[in-house]
Amino acid sequence: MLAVETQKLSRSFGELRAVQQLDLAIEKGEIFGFLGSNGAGKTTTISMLTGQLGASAGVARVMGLDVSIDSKALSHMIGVVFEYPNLYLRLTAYQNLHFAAQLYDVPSARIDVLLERMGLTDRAHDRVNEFSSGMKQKLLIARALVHQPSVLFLDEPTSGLDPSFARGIRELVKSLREDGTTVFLTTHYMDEAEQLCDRVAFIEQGEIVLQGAPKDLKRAFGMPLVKVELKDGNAATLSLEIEEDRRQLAVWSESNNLLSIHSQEASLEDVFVEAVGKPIEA
Amino acid sequence: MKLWLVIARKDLLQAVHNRYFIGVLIFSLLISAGLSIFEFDLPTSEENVLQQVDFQTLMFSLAAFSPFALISAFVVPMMMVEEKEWQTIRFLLVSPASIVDVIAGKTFAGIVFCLATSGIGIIFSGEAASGLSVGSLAVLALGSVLFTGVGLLSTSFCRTSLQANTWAGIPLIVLFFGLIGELLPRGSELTELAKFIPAHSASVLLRMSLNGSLNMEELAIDAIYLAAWIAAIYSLTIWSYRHTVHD
Ligand SMILES: Nc1ncnc2c1ncn2[C@@H]1O[C@H](COP(=O)(O)OP(=O)(O)OP(=O)(O)O)[C@@H](O)[C@H]1O
Ligand SMILES: [Mg+2]
Repeated sequence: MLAVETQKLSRSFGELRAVQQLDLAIEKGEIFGFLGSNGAGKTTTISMLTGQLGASAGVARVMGLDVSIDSKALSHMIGVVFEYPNLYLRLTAYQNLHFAAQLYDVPSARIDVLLERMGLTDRAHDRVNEFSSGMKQKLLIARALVHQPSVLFLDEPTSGLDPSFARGIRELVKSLREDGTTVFLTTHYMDEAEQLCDRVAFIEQGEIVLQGAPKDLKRAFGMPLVKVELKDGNAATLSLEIEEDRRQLAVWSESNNLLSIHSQEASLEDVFVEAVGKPIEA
Repeated sequence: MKLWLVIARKDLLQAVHNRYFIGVLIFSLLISAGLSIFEFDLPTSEENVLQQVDFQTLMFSLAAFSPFALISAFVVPMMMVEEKEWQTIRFLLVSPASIVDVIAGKTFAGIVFCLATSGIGIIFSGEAASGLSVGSLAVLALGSVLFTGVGLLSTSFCRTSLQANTWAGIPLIVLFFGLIGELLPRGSELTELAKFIPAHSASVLLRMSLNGSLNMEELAIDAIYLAAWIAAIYSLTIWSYRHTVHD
């Protein structure tokens, strides 16, 4: 059984086709990255997969459950970290988690475990409207994990966070892999996807344009490049696949003008530009 | 614990930290207390329309139901619209709770607010409250369900607290009109109209239970009429939220 499976999943808002003909097959325990510009359809996809939004066409199954039918059973299987920090601001961190624990019928001992794991123990009894956005994000993740879901959906979990908070959250996502949790995350950040994800899919105007393991994509799409530094102070990036570049390299080599040569791998960003035709817009 | 009870508990907890709610609740309490400590000495000889009703119990029923109207207009809608504004409704809907659990939770919290404020108000009222019976309490409970339902339904399409506060005023006026219906001149068209407002039935039932003047036929009609309104309002509320909370 796949953790997430969709066939021709589509959603329109009036004329606008937000998600079109989405085919996904995500294995259990995988960290799957969904990359796309603003308005590409990432949140709409998560909303459909988590049963918040009906599909216009197609089917979606999460842990074998049809998301449009088995909403109660589905709710125990999934955790959602929303794009917007939708916490109860008047309640404390502890009260927010306690409410979630009661909804999912989880013993309250779990709350302390999560607060500890997220480094929020000291602030447990402070009201959430006093929290920084990084702390809210951690609490949001803690809440989504309260019932130990099989599939965790994270909608731009590190957007707007400083690098150290973002790293903490990435470490946490990695640690979920050890528990066997499947992670579906959306992001604008290529490095993040490259570091974290077993597989990624690029979505543009509601359609998947490319998907695969970051390594494979880079190999398939990236051209072997070399970065050349010259003794005269100039520098250049050349492709070994282009004849003109190869000739130029030979010329520099013969005239003893080369200072250093570094091989340069294509980044996921390059692959995205190649596949989509323009860089990702955050 | 039942899911709706979990939600109600959360809402009651949030209310403690909500200055706006506390303000409305205190205001309701003052109105209720103010109305119920009024002592009216009506000259019995005069040809006064007011004579025809037991004025003291009418004031008592106003004192009991006024806080309901205020809570239904300013507290209940806010409980729901804040979930939309903060998008916490999304969290509720991906959790095991259904929209019916959410509505039931808010209703329960609404009933608690209503009964607590008018209960304290009634304590001030002295003599009129002496007729208070189990029947009166049942009518008050039923009334709080009605008023809370009106608050939920009338603002179900609102997305922001500003919209909710604007719209909630309309049912507030209608409900008040139902409550004071019997103060209007008898036989006028307005009075006849007021009788159709379910708040009027609640008020009539409360006075009957206070007076102990039980006219079984009238009791049955008003009770059934009120129950039918409550059923209709909640069916519509559930329907409406099912169609508005998603996307
Ligand atoms: N409820 C809605 N009603 C109408 N249009 C919508 C609705 N929700 C989303 N859309 C539209 O669908 C498209 C996809 O939106 P979506 O929120 O899924 O994008 P996204 O990839 O999550 O973008 P971002 O990176 O900005 O979060 C957008 O054009 C958006 O305007
Ligand atoms: Mg989004």
